[in-house]
Amino acid sequence: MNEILVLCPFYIDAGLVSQATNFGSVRVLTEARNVNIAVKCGARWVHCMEGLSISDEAAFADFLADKIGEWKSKIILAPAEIKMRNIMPMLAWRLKAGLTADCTSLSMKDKSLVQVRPAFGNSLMATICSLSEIQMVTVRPGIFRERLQTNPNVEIIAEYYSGERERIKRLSFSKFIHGKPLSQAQIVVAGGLGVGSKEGFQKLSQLAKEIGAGLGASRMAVDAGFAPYSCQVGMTGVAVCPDLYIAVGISGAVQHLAGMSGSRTVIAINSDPKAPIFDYADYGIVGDWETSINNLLEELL
Amino acid sequence: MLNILVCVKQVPDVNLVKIDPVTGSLIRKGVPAILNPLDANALEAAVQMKERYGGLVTCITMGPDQAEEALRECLAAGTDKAVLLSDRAFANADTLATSYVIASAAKLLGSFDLIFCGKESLDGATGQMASQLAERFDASQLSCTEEILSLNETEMTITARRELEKGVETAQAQLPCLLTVEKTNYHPRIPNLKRWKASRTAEIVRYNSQTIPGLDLAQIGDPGSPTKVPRTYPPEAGSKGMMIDEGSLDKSVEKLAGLIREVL
Repeated sequence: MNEILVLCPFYIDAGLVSQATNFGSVRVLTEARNVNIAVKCGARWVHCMEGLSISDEAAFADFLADKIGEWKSKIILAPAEIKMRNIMPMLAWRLKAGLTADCTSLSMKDKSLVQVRPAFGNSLMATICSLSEIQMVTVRPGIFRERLQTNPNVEIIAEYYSGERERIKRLSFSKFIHGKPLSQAQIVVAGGLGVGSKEGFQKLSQLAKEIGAGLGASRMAVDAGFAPYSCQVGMTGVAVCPDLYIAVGISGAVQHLAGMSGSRTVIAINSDPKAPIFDYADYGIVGDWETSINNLLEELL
Repeated sequence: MLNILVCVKQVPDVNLVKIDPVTGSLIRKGVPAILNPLDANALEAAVQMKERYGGLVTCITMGPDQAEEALRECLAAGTDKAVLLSDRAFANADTLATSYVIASAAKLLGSFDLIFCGKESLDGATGQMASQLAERFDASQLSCTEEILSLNETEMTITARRELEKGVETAQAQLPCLLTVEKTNYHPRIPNLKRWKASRTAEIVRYNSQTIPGLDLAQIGDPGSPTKVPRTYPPEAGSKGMMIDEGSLDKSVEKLAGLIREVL
């Protein structure tokens, strides 16, 4: 039986843990507060650590490399969030392992993990395999759906990271104000260049608040300064997989579609009937975004 | 005086890339090659450090002969020295093999206090190179740097603000330090005519697999790359959804609100 290691020290992707159980017994490393999620998604071993604020990723990679040596892990998965996207390449270098970034699909053929990832601005999909003894992959957060299936033999093991080898010191930290990370939002209201201004985004933000949604933005809107980078959905931003994605004034460039293709229902509002977003939307409305959102706010309140 | 290295890549302009519907591979013909846009931001950060603290900026890239053009662009934007690593034996390298070649060649150029990388490339977009280079240089790493605040040359530390997933961190790192730079604050400069002219004829330092002493050929190019790409194909087109058109925008939105209520 294969053993799969899923590294979630900063952010747990429940769907990824569930998916890993298809390939073998799953070992999860995660924060203490996320142990329950790992257990209910079918982990066989859950290694838990106290809440981490790591500034030196390389020092943490040292710690992980030692652990991986102990566990003799051969297949290592992690969600492609900012920290793990940095730490996994460091580990790959230490372990002389092939690493594939931002996979959107995984399957197992013999003992080899078949990985699929988008490349060239999502205009091309590539199937990738690793010939190294250890195979490593980061996976777009939220690509896989979680499945509840507790393993009756689950063991929970405490781990401790001292951080004494850190070469980077945190001087200060200020949390983003908009609460839950966008990547975990159940509903996302996202705006594009068509929204036209910062003020326009305030209106979207108002709608988002009313319906308990996260606020997203296309790269073009972020580049234009309408919304902060933390809102960017797409290739170089966050990947989201909400139940409902409302795209407002977003044309639907491939880079953007790459970040929201996991959404269950997509609604698009755009004044251009030829906008590519309509090819991906479940429901579309052609018309002025501002009037539509104003009406929508009235309807939903 | 700071010794600064900037690692850059020449990439096809992905916005113009087309896919052959039959073979599922890229049609590169006629697609312009450009300096990776995020590398231009990294270079700007490096040049600003040089202007503030004094030093030398070296740009290094691995690629075919044509990648020289990307280096000339870097020279025009304030680079002092440009290094091209070019060899057929380097081809088909994944990030592990590429970082090995770049780090091996960089060792010939001296020891660097600061190393700058773009956050990721436009084509592969793995964002893996910087972390692997930091390891190979045994440098500390400040990823997602939004703004460099200060450098302390006596204590050999650099302080920067980084934009992380949950918030903004101010952190102090020991030199040598590798930084990946966000595009927010470091817009590439427009080169002046004098610099641009000089960049056209400036010398480019070249290395190949034979001129980097001690390079282990088993760790470069295809043999040095554990990841293989057996197949590429175009993504599936999305399915056409339902357009809501109830005659007027008011009525359409009313219907949409009903659908949203169902989902909520």
